Amino acid sequence: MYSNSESPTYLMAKLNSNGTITIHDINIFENHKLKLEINLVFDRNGNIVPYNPKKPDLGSHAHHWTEKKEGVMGRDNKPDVNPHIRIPKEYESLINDIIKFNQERKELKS
Amino acid sequence: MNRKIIIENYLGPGKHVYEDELGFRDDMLQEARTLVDREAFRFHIELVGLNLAFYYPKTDTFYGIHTETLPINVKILPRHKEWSEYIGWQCESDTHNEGEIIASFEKVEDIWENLKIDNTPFDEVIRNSYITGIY
Repeated sequence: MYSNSESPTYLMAKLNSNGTITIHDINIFENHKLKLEINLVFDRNGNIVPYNPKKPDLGSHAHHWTEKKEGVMGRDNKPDVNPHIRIPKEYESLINDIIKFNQERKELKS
Repeated sequence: MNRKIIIENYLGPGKHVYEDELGFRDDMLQEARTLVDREAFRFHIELVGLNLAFYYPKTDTFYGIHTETLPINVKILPRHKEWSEYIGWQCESDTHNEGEIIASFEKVEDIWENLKIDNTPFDEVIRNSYITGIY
């Protein structure tokens, strides 16, 4: 489902074999361009695996997106900078709602 | 139209993978504005910087190209046959997950020409694989 808003926030989910869905990514747009991607990692109980500065891509983390060429946004993968950043605090409330939603194991309605 | 089944019951009874679904599918090619696999890879993986996960029927294995860290590792993705009797539900296709590293690259642009899986050049591998994730 797409939004006509110029700065929407999209929640990305995967379909599980039992018909439930799990939200695992948040994509935050500004002026029609993806600015921040949040990748959520969960443990077996559906609790969030926190950011791990030593192995940042194994815990929950975020990526900045930048304009790679005109009109094409891409993940900010500079070779000399850690591309995995700590998730900004402002998304804590949304993430708590996502954890609750995932743990309720909602089924996708067709 | 008779479609050739490549992976029978991939996601459950009757949910097959067909020959025309191997390689970069129409939506992926359309987003990259190309009809050519090499250009789709250049767009999604090299330019946008996404990760790629795919299932290669010839080796019955899921692979992941994780572009978020350097070196870029190509790995065998964890597979859990106990999760389901159907192949498609046996792997999360998450390239963040740890797995056996089969190749490493310092530059993403080197992958297409140099990666081989089961002694097969990557362009042939991806053309005959079912892509399970570009993210």
